[in-house]
Amino acid sequence: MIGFIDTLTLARAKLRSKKVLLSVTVVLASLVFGIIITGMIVVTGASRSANTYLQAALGGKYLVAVNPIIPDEILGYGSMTETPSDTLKAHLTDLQKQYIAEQEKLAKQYDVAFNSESIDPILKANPFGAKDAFGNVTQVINRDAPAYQMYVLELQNEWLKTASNSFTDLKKLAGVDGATTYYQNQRSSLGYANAMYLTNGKEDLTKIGQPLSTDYTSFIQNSAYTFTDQSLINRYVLPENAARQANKKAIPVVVTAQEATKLFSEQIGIPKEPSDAAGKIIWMKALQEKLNGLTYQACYRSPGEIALIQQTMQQNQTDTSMNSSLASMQSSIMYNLPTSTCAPVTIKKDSRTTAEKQADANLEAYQKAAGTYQPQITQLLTFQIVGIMPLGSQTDGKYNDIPSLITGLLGSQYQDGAFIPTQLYTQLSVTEQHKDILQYSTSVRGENVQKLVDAGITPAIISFPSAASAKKFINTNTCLTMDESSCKKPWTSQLYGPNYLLTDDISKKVGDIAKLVLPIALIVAAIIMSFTMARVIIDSRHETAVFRALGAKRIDIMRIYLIYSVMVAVLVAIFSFLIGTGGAVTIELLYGPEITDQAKVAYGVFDSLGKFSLIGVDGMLLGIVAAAILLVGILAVLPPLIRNVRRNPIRDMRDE
Amino acid sequence: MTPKATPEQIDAYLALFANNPYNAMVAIKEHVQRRSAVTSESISAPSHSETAIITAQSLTKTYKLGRQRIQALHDVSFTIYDGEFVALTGASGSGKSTLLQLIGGLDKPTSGEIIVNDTNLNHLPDAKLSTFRNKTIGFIFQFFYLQPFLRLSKNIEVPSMFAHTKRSIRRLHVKELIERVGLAQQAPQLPKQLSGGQIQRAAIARALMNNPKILLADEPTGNLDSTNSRAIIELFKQIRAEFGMTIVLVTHNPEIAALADREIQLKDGTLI
Ligand SMILES: Nc1ncnc2c1ncn2[C@@H]1O[C@H](COP(=O)(O)OP(=O)(O)OP(=O)(O)O)[C@@H](O)[C@H]1O
Ligand SMILES: [Mg+2]
Repeated sequence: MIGFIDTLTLARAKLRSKKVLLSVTVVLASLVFGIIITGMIVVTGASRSANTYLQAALGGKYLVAVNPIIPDEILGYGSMTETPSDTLKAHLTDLQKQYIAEQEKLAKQYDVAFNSESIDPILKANPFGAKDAFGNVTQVINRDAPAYQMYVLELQNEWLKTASNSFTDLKKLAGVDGATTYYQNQRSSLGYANAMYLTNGKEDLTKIGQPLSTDYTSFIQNSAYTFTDQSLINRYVLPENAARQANKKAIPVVVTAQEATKLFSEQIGIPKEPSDAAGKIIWMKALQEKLNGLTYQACYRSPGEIALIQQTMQQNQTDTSMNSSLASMQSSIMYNLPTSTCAPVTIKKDSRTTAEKQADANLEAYQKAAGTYQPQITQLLTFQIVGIMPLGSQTDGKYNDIPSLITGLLGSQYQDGAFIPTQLYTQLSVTEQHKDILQYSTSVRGENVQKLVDAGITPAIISFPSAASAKKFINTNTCLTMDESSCKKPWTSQLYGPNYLLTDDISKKVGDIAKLVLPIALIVAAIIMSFTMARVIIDSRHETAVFRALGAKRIDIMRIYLIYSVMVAVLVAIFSFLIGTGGAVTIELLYGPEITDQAKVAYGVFDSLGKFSLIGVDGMLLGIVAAAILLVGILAVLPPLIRNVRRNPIRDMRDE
Repeated sequence: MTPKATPEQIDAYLALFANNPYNAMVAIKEHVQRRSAVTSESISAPSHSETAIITAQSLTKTYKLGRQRIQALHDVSFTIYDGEFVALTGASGSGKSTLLQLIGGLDKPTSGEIIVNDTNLNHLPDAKLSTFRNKTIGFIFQFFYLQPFLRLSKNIEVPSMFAHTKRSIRRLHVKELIERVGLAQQAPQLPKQLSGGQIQRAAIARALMNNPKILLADEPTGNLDSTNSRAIIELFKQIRAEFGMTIVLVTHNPEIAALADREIQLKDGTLI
């Protein structure tokens, strides 16, 4: 058999022939493979950079926000039209009687007039007038009836016996996947739209108690604050500056850049958010500088106070529009609307008799005992901006262009727009904290939930040590929020903070695409290579015959031409890598700076992060491509080569 | 008897001076010089032995060309002896090349036996047949058939590649042969840069590369002008004188035929 060095010598010499055909083969195949390699380098680079940015953003915390799934009826919700069974009807009627008896007893105790008719009935006529077989309007449950809450409590007791989504359960299950820390973000007790944001320090009484708008930039306006552990939003909390040092009594708030702009741009002169990334960085930096330590005020009025103001406004209207003597007859106390910002309602005229006053005092005592008393509280709250964060990603999973993709990759996924960092908050004194009105309210939706909260059925944020462990927990124990109704698992979940699973998803998607594209590209390249290489081999029949005549065995011929095709493949590989690298570098030069800015904007922190590089070499992937090129080269020549060595050398020598 | 520089002998030199490769080289060089001193004038044609080296028995070769059958050889029998120089003559299409190919193990007869060097070629498997062509036969084709992509020296070296000859020996031998056929200057050139006569001489050198027992030449002067033909004839004379190998040479040229010990004549595929 021919030696290896001789094989190389002959194969290399053979490369000298058919130069044009060979060049075309090498160039075309290299282009195809080069494009694949460019793609690989860029995708690897981007996903690595995304990971670096994410690591910085996450600070090693992979956060998952979970919500226990609670059936609607346990929370007191249900169908408005469904007719209850006769047994349920009987039971509900019993509860209603029981409730009335209790109330009657209480009323008697506090010497308050009691009329059982005034109690909302637990069963009412079908609001749509549906009739039963006898032509009577059917009855449905009145879920607003106070007695219905007793039934809900019964249901809750029953449900809690088998519920498997308490905080204890959560810790057990998440612990299996390596969860390290548990946080409980809590809504503030201010209540929705109860603490009105004072635009220019003024209160607009006509808008009191009404939500202003419901978009993602109206958290402060609607007083929807969330207490959050500072470590979850640490990267947005700005260092203390002079303004903050000067005022350490205000309630600290971290707000989105977009909401801050909406509220303060007139006041401090901030231009509109630019659309380009580089501009955004400058804009965000300016925003952080100007807003850090800025304070604003909000007027908290308790629901009782809001009701009184609304009542007074109505009174005034009646006063002006109707005969005043008639109006004054209707109410024995007349009120003044507040005259200065966030002042309480004052009494204008109290025309009650002593007996009436006693009756009102009795009523108040009775309401307090029955739990229906609404206190009248007014407090001026001062908040201070201590951090700015980028607006949460609103891309709803459609990533049409690179910027939205990057935002999706790195942008926050917070559902809450105005955070009160608890560590900063607790540094305030009790009065500064406004403890009487501003507390944690463990929020499970629904009203009568104290029992559930006591049993540990509460939302939580869990910190996992890795994306993989978080993902495992999410997949085994939770459903997506939107799948709640059909969920068979105990919790729904959402990622909290940057979307660290998206990189995963994207690399998987890219992997899927690669699985599709790579074979196609390989086939295209294989076709190009096999056409030309097969041609070369077929054209070497005469040479083969001469070699055979001079004593070459079949195996010798195989070796020479296989090594030859390996050499061609190596050439293709070298050019592919050159083209691939060139392509990647070009893309990096063209898009790198823009994407870096984009990523920084999405992340919201601009210093301390390097370039978002689009170049990354995955040795394994490139190895696979190199192997594929070799394989294609060899497979392309094998069939014609085998045909060649089987032929009669004499015949091939004659055909010239 | 003229000294022959077979690879085996060079091997022996190398083995002898195994501890001192320089001395081995000197020895081989002396050997080569001794041989170069031999001229055709000083040597008369040696007479051949009585040992049969090629025996053909009732050789028949039929080619199929589509439906057509062409009988290139019909019942050809003869014996050629070791060291004999045979001229194979006959009109165009009489079957000379076909016969040469059968002797050289390039093709198999349709019927009949061909025994070369005590081996019945009909019974050799493909790989053994390759070795036979490589080691026993030196073939000079009618149309030379140098590999177009190989430099002249490499073209000459090819048979030794398949024989797995030691590289040092090979190089010496190639050099020697190139000088012998007067192509030292052309060694690094590709075939397309050579003249017809030069190509023919290179083809002869290649045929001698593995020191074959039998040299088969198919009209080595057929495509050459008279000057070149003369040079080739001169070369064959020397080869014959120097190596004393068995030569079967196809020719139309009576001058060359006259050089041979014997002439075998073909007519329409049969001996006359
Ligand atoms: N491979 C082949 N296939 C078909 N016919 C062939 C083949 N080789 C030779 N022949 C035919 O066999 C006959 C003998 O051919 P061959 O080549 O042996 O003649 P030749 O004596 O060498 O002629 P020339 O002097 O022209 O070279 C011719 O008729 C030729 O056409
Ligand atoms: Mg012929």
